[in-house]
Amino acid sequence: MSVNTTVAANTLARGWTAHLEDYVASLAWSPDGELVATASVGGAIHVLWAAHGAERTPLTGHPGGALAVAWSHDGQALASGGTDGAVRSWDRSTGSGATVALGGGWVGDLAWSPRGAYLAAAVGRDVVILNGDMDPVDRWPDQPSTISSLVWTIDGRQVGAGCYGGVRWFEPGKDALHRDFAWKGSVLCLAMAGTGKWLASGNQDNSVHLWRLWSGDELEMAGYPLKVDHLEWHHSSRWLAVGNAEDVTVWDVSGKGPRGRRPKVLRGLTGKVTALTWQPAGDLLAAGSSDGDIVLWGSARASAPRSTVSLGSAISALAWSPDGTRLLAGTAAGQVTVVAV
Amino acid sequence: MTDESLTTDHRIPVTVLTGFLGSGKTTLLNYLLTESHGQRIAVIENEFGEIGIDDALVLDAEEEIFEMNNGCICCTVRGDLIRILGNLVRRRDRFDRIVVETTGLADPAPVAQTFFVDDDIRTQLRLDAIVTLVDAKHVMAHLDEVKPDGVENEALEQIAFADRLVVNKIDLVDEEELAAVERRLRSINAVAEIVRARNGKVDLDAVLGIGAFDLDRVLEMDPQFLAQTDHLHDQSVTSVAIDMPGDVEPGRLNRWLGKLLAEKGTDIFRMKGILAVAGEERRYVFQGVHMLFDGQPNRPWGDDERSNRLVFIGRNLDRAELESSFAACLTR
Repeated sequence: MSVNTTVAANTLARGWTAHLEDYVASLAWSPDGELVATASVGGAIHVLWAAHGAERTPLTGHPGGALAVAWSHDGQALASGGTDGAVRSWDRSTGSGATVALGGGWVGDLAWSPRGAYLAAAVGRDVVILNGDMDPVDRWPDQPSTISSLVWTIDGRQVGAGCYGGVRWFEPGKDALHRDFAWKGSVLCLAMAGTGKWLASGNQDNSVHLWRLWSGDELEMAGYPLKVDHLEWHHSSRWLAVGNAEDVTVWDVSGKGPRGRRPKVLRGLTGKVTALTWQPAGDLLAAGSSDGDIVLWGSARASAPRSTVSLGSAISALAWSPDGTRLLAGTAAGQVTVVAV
Repeated sequence: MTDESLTTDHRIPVTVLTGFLGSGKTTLLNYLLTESHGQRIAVIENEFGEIGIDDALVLDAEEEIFEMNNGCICCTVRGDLIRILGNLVRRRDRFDRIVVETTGLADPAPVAQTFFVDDDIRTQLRLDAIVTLVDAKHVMAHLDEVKPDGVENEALEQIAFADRLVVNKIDLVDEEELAAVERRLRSINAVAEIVRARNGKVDLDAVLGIGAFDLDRVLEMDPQFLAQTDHLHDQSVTSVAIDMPGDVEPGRLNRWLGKLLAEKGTDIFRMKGILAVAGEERRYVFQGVHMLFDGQPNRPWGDDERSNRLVFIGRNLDRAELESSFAACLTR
């Protein structure tokens, strides 16, 4: 039974809107908050000024489709990946670009190591590490299936690759598999807690899986209505938010973990959750939905939304500004809009 | 309630084209792409073919079968298709139709089940039909090939799963051989319509826009057709049709179906049926793949005689047992 909450939520103030040509697959805000990068399914990569949305630099895209964009931690390099099997990079200070053709499948995910030395790329069934000069330095080919998601340990020593069969860990410079979190199921997304103690995966079989690093202890939260492809940790690592169907469930992972606890269910969306993200250093949780709404809750225990806004087309990506004051949203119709919170 | 049939389905139709190596899939595909003027068709290939059509979007995929954690066969899906189809439907240049070409060794079940199980796929794409191409000259040999224990005869499975069977290369056999091939196909799959082709040339309508998973089409099952489910060969995969007048008692029916799918779901590849449920004025129609079941009330019976027609295609089906256990669900 769900009770309809009729507490009126504030409407979020919309800022600028940019119109891209296609479905927004990925968004990333530069660490200094000045620029935003976008990847669209049509293949284009754009860098826009965060202040007003005008294009900073037109970049070469990925023929066939772009899938991911990621800024390096110092904000000097932007990396993108696409269905062309290439990683492209752009140097912000020199304006020069580079293309690294990696072959072997789509570049579906990118992750910079926490100290910025490496860029990990999921290339079909291969995990590839590039150094700061964009030279491929490691490649672990032929994992059990296409890599869906990459995550670094917080010390940046190992990279984990989610695929059908669990999470495979690798260490740059070493050929051997570092650790195998074997699990019979298909991992769709990964999220590392800020403390580095827990790894969460969202899975095709409507479940969330948690591993404790490095004991390997695991637990599973099953029974979601749909496959789980949206989950994110609060910066404190206490809360794990999972967006699934029309609800966001928030698990308390403090102490020994969520075993035996019931999650808080955050309601307020009428469409399916299509994007989910916590404020970088705050308590606000933002979710986007298939019917174009963005809903903001004030905390992990909010009983009703704090504010909402409708963009009219399914929200396909959400990203907070690094200072947590603005939220960038991409839609299925190719709109990129900034909202102030 | 009658509006159901009037609602327009905006999902993009997907045709699954399967068949043994050498059956002529690439030739058929090229023919379809040439003939389907004005339609934008995307093709997903699991084996390198030679698509000779410039304006068709052709994507390569490597078969990735995902079994879910609970080990249930009905939860086996194709990870590669979820990823590629999921990306395809996001593109602004929408396609009128998608054709998924599988290898001759592919198991059709995970392909079909992907369209039932994955929500993103189900809400945006509609499985139109499984079309299986067979080589008139060599299909008998493929079917008779003895496999080691526990290994599936893929040719047999692909025929059993089909909604439409295209018998290709008919110019390489005489009429008698052709008739024998068709009898054999019919004994495996009593439901699929058989069309003949030479060099992969068939009417577009014979393979595209079939709507085989549309519950309305279940009503078109021809009872005469089903009566001809002769057991020609001593083969493991067959069709069993049940045709019984009367009403079924809903509680008993549910228990029967639940038990059947729990015990035999792995062996039942496809099923379809029209049921007269006691107290229900409308025909209840259903169809399914393994344990995945889709059903709803459809057209009213009106003055027509209330009766039940079901067909199962599967492995090691016990016709007598199916008939008697179903008969026990009748109200009298």
